[in-house]
This record gives sequence, C-alpha cells and structure tokens, in this order.
Amino acid sequence: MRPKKFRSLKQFASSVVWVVVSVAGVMLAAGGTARAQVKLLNVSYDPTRELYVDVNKAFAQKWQRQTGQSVTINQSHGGSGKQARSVIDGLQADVVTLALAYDIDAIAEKSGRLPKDWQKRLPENSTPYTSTVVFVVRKGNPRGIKDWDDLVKPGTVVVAPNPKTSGGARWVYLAAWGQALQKSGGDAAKARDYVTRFYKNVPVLDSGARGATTTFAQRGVGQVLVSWENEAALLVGELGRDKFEIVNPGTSILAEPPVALVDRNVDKHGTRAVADAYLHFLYTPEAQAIAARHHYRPRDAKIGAPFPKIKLFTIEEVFGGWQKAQAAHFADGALFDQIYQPGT
Amino acid sequence: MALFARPLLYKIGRVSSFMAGLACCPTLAVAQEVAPVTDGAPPVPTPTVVPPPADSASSRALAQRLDELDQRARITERKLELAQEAAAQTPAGASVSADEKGFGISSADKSFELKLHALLQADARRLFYSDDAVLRDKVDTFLLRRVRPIIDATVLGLVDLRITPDFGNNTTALYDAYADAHPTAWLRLRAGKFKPPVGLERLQTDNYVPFIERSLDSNLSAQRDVGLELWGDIANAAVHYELAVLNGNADGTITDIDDEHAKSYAGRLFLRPFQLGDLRALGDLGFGVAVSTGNEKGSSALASGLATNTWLPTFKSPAQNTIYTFTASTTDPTQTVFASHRHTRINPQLYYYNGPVGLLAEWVHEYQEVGKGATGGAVNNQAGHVTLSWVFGGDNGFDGPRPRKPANWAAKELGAIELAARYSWLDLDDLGFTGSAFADPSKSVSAAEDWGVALNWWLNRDVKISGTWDQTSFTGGAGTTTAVANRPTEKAGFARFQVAF
Repeated sequence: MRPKKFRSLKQFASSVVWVVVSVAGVMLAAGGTARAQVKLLNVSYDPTRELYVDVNKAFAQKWQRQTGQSVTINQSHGGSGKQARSVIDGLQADVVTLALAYDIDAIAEKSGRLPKDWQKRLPENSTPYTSTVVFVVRKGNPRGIKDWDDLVKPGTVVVAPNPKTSGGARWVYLAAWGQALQKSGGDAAKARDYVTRFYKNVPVLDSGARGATTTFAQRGVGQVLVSWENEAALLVGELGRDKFEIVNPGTSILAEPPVALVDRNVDKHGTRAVADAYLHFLYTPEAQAIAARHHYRPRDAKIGAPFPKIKLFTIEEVFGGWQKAQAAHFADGALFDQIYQPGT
Repeated sequence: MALFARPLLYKIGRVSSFMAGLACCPTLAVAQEVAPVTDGAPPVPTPTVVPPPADSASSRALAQRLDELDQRARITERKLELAQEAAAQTPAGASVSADEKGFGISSADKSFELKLHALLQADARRLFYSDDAVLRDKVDTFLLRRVRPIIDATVLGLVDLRITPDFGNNTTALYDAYADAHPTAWLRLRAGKFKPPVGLERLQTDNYVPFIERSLDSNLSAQRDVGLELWGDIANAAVHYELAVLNGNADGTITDIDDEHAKSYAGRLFLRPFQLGDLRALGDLGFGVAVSTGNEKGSSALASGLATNTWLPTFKSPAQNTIYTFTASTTDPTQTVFASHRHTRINPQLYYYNGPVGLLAEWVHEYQEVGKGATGGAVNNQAGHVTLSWVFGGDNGFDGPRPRKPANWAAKELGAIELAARYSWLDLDDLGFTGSAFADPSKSVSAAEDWGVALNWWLNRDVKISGTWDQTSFTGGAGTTTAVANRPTEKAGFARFQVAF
C-alpha cells in the first residue's frame, strides 16, 4: 500500500518538478475559464454616483460585445481627499476618478501606485469632462443674487463646503479668488479681501459638496449655495424647479476632474486591459453624451449639450497649477487658514 | 433614490415651533414649504418669506429680523448636527477588545496593539492492544498536551512580536519568540524562533489540524528553528515565499542554540492561483515546494554517560511512542551515530479547500549524512500523508473550519462538525540497518503506515471537542537483531477538549 520509495534525492526532485508542472498546467487551464468574468473598482468623489452608474452600465455592455467578457464595476464615493487617502492606505482601486489632480498626485507620490506623470497618459490632461462653479438660490431669488459681488454683501448667508476637506470646495474657493483677481486687474490683496468677506458669510462648512447641498436644500440654511454646476443641476432637477433656481456668474473656473489608472493595483488584479479600456471609454461619444446628461461638460464639442456660457479661467492660468494652489491656499497655515473667520 | 440623504441627528423641532409662531402673526406670514424628501424621512420645512405689505416699514424690518433669527436657528442646528456627526466619526483613543480572536488593547490607529491568546488541549488517550503492556500503560493517560499563553504585539504599525511558551506535556519550553518587520506585504523580515519552511501540516496552526496528533511525515521536519527569514505575499497572496537562514535543527526538535558554525538554508515557494481576480470562486488551491539544506555536525562525545548532542532525531508514531532511534552507546563513543555534514529535505505540498471540502497532502524526502566512529554513510527517508476533511455546518479552510453559526442551545444551533480521514506513511532507509548498522532493527522500525479518522465538534471558532482513531502498522522494530519481527500494530483512541482564542 505504501507509495514506492525513491532511491535517491535526484529521482525524487525530478518527480516533484514533473508533478508541479502538471498541476500548474491544470490550474492555467482552469484559470482561462474563470477569466470570463472580471471586476473593477472605481474610486471616485461624492457627486459622481449617478454619472458612473450610467457609464458603467454602458461600458459593461460594450466590453461584453467586444470581448465576450463580463465586467462588473464597483463604485466607491466620498470626499476626494479622503478617497485618495484610502487608496494610499491600500484600497484596491483599479481606477480613480477624483475631483482634483492634486489628490491623484498625492496617491502617486505617497504610495507609488501609479507614475508621477499619470496625467499625460490620457487626452485632455486625463480629464474627460469638466464642470464649473455656479450658484443655487431659492425660488424667486429673494436676495437678488446675480454675481460674485452679491455673495459678500452683509447679511447674505452663503453655503459652501470646507476647502480643507472637499475637492469641490477648493474649486469654489479658487473660483472666488480667481474672479476677484481678474476683476481687480491682478491685485492679490483685493482678491484676499474678497475671499475673506466671502467666507465671513459662510457660517457652516460642510466636509463635502453633497453635505453642503443638504445644508442648503434640506436644512434651509442660507440664501445661496455655491457648488459644482452638475451638483446644482442635480439639486434643481431632483427637488424641483419650483423651489430653487440656478444663477450663473459672469466668470467662474474651469473645473477639471481627472481620471487615472492605478498601475500597481491593476497589475495585481490582472485588470490592466479592461481598466485602460474603461478610462478610454470615457472619451467616446457615447460616454461623453452620458456625462452631458448628468450635467458634466463634455470635452467632445460635437455632443452639443446646452450649457450656459460662462467666462471660464483655468487653474493653470490663474494659479500656476494644483501644486502651487495647494501650497499657497490650502496647506496648513496657508491663506485659507489665515482668512477663514466664520460669521453669523 | 436618496440623492441627498438626511443625517441621522437632525432636530427640527425648535425651528418648526419658531415658524409655527410666525404663522400666527396677523401682520406677517412666513409660509413653510415642504421640500420633497426622497428617502422616506419626515418632511423638512424650507423657508419662503412672504413679503409684508409695502406700506409697513416696521413690518418689513420685523420680517427681516425674523428671517435673520430663523437663519441663526437653522445654522445653530446644522452646526450641532455636523459636530455630532464629526464626533461620531472621530476615532476614539485606545480601545479594549474581546472577541473570538483574543483579548487586546490598541491605539486608535492600530499602530500599537497588544493581544493575549491562549491554547489549551486537554486529552484523554488510550492504546487498544494488549501485547505490550508497557507501551499500553504509558499511553493510557489524561494529558495536558498543549498549554500555551500566547502574546502578540504590534509596535509602530511596523513590527509584530509573538511569544509562545508551552507548559504542556509536563515540560516548559519556548516555542515561538520572533519579531516580524513588515514594511510591505511582499517583503517581511522575521527574526527569532519560529516554524521553519518544511512541513505544510507543521505550518498549520496546532488548533486547526484535524487530527489530535500530526501525521507520520511530521517526523521529517524540525518543529522550530532559530534564525532569520525573509518572506512575503505577492499578487494578493497568490505567491508566497520564504527564504531563511537557520541554525538547522534536527527533525522534531525545538533547540534554541547551534553548537557548530555551519548554518542551514531553507526556502518555500507556495502558489495560490485562485487568489487572483474572480478565480476565488474556484476555492483555495495551494501548491508548492519547501526545501532545506545545510551542514549539521553532531557529536558522539560522552558527557555523564550520554552523547552530548548527536543532532539526530528519534521518530514517533501517531500515538507518540518512539519507533526509531539511531544507535547510541553509553560507554563507547565510536558506537554512537551522529549527524555528519549534509542534511537536505525536499517537501512538495498541496492543499485545496472549497466550501465544506478540504484536502491536504504532502511528501517529504530527507537525505541525512551520518557518521559512526570512523565510518560514514547517508540515509534517504521518506514520508507523506493525505488528509481529506468535510465540514458540516461551516466552511473548511487551511486556517480551520468556520462554523456558520456558533453553538447555541436556545436557538438549537450546534456549531459545525468536521469529519476527516488520513493516510500517512513513513519509509526509512534500509541502509540504516545494514553495513554500519546505524539503527537496531529489533528496536527501530523500517516503515510505518497509519490510517486514521477524526470527528471534531466545533462549538465555535474557539472551542472544539475531538475524537480520533489511528491504526498504525509497522515493519520491523521488534524481535531480536537476528530474528526481526514487526512491532505490534498500534490502535490508538484519543479524545480532546480544546480551547483556543
């Protein structure tokens, strides 16, 4: 009954190699069958929930048609900075679609999970859609708010999220600063004065854009909400045009939420091909149309979505890019910490 | 779909009362509109100020004042709400935990952690053969097989520490004492005393081995060794590796110190291909090879009538009777066998777990050079085993069965039952009994075969009641040197009560 004894170590070792190679072959064959299904994790920021539900559905159908492989894309949403921290700490994102390039830079620098030049790998600096910052007021616009100057009038209660924790809030802050800077002909002191008065009228700093929307729409705080254009459109569409109105300022910022492949994670999961195709899909007319439906401004001009004309400046033009903006305005002890004095 | 979810702690009563009071004012009306709520929460009032009559300046001022007060109230409520949310999300300070994995304290960020575990195995053992009264009586006993308080600690989130003494078997011994630095999952450095790479069943934690005693092939690996080991998991633990420099302990031993300068090298490569992607649905398959090799030099010198350290093992049956010893003399060192130079082990290993089913199999080939007086030689020993197990009411795994529901009499839950069957064998080199006579064939067996079954009742992950039956037959090991007979077949029934957390 006992297995045959090997006469030498050499004979035994060669038998082991034969068995291991055979088992590995069987495993590879089994693995080929199981590769018919694949999962991706898209780690994104707060307001993109609804957008990516539709994008994921469209991409899964297209991928199935093209490759025969079934793909399931799981979504994770939260404040952009917090999401970046989670990926740095090990959240197994295949792709990140965050509010700020700065947050993806942080992932690259602190975790090395993707290269530092990640933004050069996809068209349009890896930003397949854009947005901007607009105002939402209550129906009838009782305060007569039309542009940025109306937000710093005494007694006006403004709702905006916290730039220290929210990616959307940083776009709001930079929009406020940038328009004041342009209006004053580049006078930084006047821009600082404007932003100081702006945040004096912000009594509550929510940690994210979705929280600020709740504060304004459901808690009844404030006369004006300053938010993402897509979030404003969603709010008005969801809770009723008979209760809220969107006010488009004359000037605002071109917000460019970026997307990126998390190289180390896709290589670990064996999902590089499908994850890369997923991000490229965002630039297709089909995905661009979905973005437009969700009130994100598509990069593809042929989509022809009806977005209001607002004079938009970029972060590069006014602030010299995210790294400089972060250091000057949002780092600990930087300008925002110096000027923020909650009012009311 | 709730796009704008309501925080839990919202309190609107104060504002609602305020607004209701405004509605009663004869000269001023502040109407409340109810925002549509999509998540099933009660409606929330949002303010719409109805302008007062144009001819009343004082009414306008009053309306503005009331509007301001309303905003102040709402802002205060919201700030309170956000503060409470933030407080709920803020990690507390050091925390104390007590669960099925042990008792512990840890810092808020888990960078510093202390865990206390324990393993107690209380056995009742009996041999069921009658033609060797000495052995029978020796085994027929209650026994504290393992009594181990286990201390685990984490420092700076970077270094883990484990210390495991054992007070079982009427001895006191140190089993594990090592520090594990883990800058990344794929590169870890372990230093101290730990289980060396050879022996898959040996690497399985004691409390999760389906049988009360390990199989015959565990005779061909060291229980613990001391040294350094680089190890890690790559690609989501689909690839596991170990590379170690060790003292090079003899089979079955846990010696803490080396008595010669040569060291042993050991490695293990273990692949778990189903850890990748969706392959997990196919179960947990692991296969690989462990190898150790090195120079091990024992001595036959006598001290107080005994060889100081031959660096050679004795082999035991599943009933823990000694079935093989190398020749040793209490008077003549030239008649004592000792380890001489090369000692190599190759150990292919395999497991597969899927749902209730489990399979664990391995084979060990050992090459051991020995000396006796001026002569020398080498022995090739082999052993292996196959264990099949099935868990009813739980999931099977290398890290033990997981009952779906713990035993609960009131709820008529019984926990999980594990059934296991095992075949193992040990085949020792005949060269040991001829020529230089490294072992006495009338006292040491040349082969052993064991069949065993086990029934384990897992009340929960921590408590197990076990019963095993092993029947081991032998070749040689009895009679006289000139008329060797087979050692009587062992029929061992063991029972165990185990608590491990």
